[in-house]
Amino acid sequence: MYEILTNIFNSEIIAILIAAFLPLFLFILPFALFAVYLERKVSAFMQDRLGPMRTGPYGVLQTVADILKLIQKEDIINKDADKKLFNLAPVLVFAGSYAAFAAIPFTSIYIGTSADIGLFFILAISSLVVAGILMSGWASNNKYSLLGAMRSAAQIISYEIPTALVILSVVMITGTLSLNTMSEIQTAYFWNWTIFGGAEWGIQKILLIPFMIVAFVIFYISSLAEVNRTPFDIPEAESELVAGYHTEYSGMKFAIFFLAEYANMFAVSAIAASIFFGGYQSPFGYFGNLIGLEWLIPLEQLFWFTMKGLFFVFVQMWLRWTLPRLRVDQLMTVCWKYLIPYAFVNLIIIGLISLI
Amino acid sequence: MEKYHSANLSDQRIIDALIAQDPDITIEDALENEMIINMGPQHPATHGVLRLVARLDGETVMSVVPELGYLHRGYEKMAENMTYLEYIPHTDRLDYTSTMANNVAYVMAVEKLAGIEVPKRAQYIRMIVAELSRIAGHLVAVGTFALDVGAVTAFMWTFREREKIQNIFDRIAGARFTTSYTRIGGVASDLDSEAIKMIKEFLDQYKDAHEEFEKLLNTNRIFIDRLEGIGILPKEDAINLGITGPNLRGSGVEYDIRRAKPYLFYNEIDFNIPVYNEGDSLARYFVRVDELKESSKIVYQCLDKLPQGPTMANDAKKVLPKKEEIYTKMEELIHDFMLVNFGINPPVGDVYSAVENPKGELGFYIVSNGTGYPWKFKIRSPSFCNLQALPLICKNQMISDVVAIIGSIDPVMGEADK
Amino acid sequence: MAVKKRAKDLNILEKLYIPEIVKGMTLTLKNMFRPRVTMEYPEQKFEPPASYRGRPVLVQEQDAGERCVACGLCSRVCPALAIEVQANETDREKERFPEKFEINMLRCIFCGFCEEVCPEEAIVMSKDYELVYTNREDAIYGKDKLLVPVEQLQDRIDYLRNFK
Repeated sequence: MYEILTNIFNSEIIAILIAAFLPLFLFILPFALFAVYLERKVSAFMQDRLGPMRTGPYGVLQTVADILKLIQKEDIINKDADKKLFNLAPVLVFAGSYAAFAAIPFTSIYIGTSADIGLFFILAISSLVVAGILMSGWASNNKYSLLGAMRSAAQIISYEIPTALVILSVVMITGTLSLNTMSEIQTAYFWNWTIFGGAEWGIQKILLIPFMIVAFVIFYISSLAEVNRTPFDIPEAESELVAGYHTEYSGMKFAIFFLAEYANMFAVSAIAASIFFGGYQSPFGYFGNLIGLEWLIPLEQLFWFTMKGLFFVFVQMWLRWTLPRLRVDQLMTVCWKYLIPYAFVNLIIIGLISLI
Repeated sequence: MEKYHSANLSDQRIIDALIAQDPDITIEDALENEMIINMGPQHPATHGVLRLVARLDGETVMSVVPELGYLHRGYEKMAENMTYLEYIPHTDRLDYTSTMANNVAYVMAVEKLAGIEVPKRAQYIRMIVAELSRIAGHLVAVGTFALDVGAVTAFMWTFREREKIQNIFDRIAGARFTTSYTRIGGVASDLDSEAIKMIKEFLDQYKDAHEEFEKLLNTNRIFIDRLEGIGILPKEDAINLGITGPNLRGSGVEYDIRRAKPYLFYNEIDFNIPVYNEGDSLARYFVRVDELKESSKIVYQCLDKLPQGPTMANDAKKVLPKKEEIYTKMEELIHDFMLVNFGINPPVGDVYSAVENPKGELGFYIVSNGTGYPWKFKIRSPSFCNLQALPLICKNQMISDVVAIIGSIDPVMGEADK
Repeated sequence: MAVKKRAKDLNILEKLYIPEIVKGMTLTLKNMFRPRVTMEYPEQKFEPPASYRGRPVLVQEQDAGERCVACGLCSRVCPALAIEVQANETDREKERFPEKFEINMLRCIFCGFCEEVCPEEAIVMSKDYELVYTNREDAIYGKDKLLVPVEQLQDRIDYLRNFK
């Protein structure tokens, strides 16, 4: 991708700038708008009602109307709030969520950075979100926000451990930290995906399948906790602490928190798809190969990537509207007493199997 | 550290009450290490305008002081200036989740005072609508309870069922919500065949809908972990505090007014009373869920046993005559004027009559001085008495549990504040 | 016959969170494919049955007169004190007619007591529920807004005669 852009613009700097901003504005922001609409429609259909129907045909312009409304609202800051931290917090949360997309491969020819340590970078930069949340809770000068922020910080930090352990076990199988290389390894058909044991045939592949499924379940549950979705949405539980750490935010800053949450959802879904389900590879082979058109293949890969990400986002929404909420100490129990021991045991067994 | 001063005298009293619940804490210690949080009257989870001031140590609640009165409308005083007939629409607005049951309770009290005998068909119709509104009230309770704990979809499903009951009420009484259906001496209008068909259709499909949200919640481990052992109300404390209704039956006491002092025709109907021993929020939830099933059984039996006959009593001096007779006959016209202008004039005396509302025991204490206006009117509302249990059962729970406990006690502020 | 029951304990499969969660999820998914219960107003309006208590209206006979004799019972029984009647003489057969008949729709609670005590079948509850005013003076309905010809109210009058 860089080579094409450098050839067009004859300058590396412009090429890098365009490539850096491209996914942000062309993909993630429209996706966040679409995800808000999807959530409202999915929740409405599960509850036997219709959802937004009036703004635009079948309500598709609802999110646009919401964003326009939020932009023109008055920006209220408490009298006793810490202004610098109050204004900085949404920026940090936004940056932490969006920066993770730099290392996720959308198609085979495009990736934001060509770092070889993609997964490590993602884990590190998503921890910025914790700092942003704590800042917003403290600077709001509100007991409810402080409670919500403390709970959220404890939750996100604890659930990073099972995530890291599962990623470690996958890295042992595939042998690389870069998401780009990982997606390239899981070529062509769906039985080459990591969740079915990886691309190499042999007894290793068959033995690995149940443990990879367990690893995927652990990863999905801890990613739900990373994004603050039900059943782990204590920090923003509407019926307990009004709205948790973003109670005091109004207008565009609230919109930033909101969009950052949906971007984060897509980020963890995309990582789950890339690690376990083949990233941008299609499960059935490519049309481009069938017809003979080479340039069709990256577009198809983009399509499959989006579909996989969307499916996992839909499952997250589905879980939200089905399950009740876990209490804070039960949340911590699930993490420290159940997920971490299972993840450790899984890691050891996968390590042993990979020695065969 | 100086003593806490508040500009508001009632806040000062609340803070003192909070601290006083724990005898070995001084006010300086309390205000230094702990947090006093106000779950104010406007809160998404407090089931109406209920204010709770809680003293927290981290996430654990040390003491809780509820403050009522934000919805006080002066019902007991207003009754002294209205005739007994004019007061019926006000009883709708007491426990507004189960309106017909309040109507039935009120007219039973007035009939006991005035000595009016109600025909059999009217009593069976009253039982049918009272049990239907019990289903409606418990659906709200279970739905909002699930909403407080986090499962939003169950809330929507229970309200969908409630809409069907409200359509039935629309057919019978003319209004979905503020029904004012019963009159002194009977009921306002008869059930037509379409209404009976609607009730049967609703009950036939209600079983499946009930199983749906039971399957979603009953064996869900997240739900059970959230509620088991939370807010345990011991048996003796429940009896001493005057708790009634599903809260009492969740603590192991077998007391239901429909069995202990039967009214209407409940002694001819075959139904069970669910009682659970544990006393925690989960037991109270199970009591309500089982009562939903029992109520549909009761309505089926009442529909089968519904006799033909008049729906208003024949007592000319105390009961409004039929409309057709008012148009044509002179006696009934005069009685119409007299009853509307001067009221029923029950004999001098007092009466207390209680029924089993979905929330507990709703009792009316009416003192009459012989005129058409009551001399003294007192409402014993179940939610007011049930809320007394809050400071006792919220000790040493976490703040997320307080919300679940309020949901399991199920107060309705229209009743608690009158 | 009260029955004491114990709360159920969970068996081993329910202790793992996952199977119950999956059951709940299939239930929610099944619900996605059922028909919706929302009624899209104003394209689909609610048609009330004959027993519906909408806005109270005065019945107007065929020869352009109201049936009301201004006896004052409706305003006496109204729990919200919404009706105001001023009587006067007339040369017609019934000798009394309401010179001023006002219902304050902001006070009316639509309980139907006025219709129930009226001795002349002059005030009935119609099926009208769409009431919009832009200021408080508009909400006090005088005789001009309250008179409705008797043909439009026939099913309510039939309901009254049969069921009350």
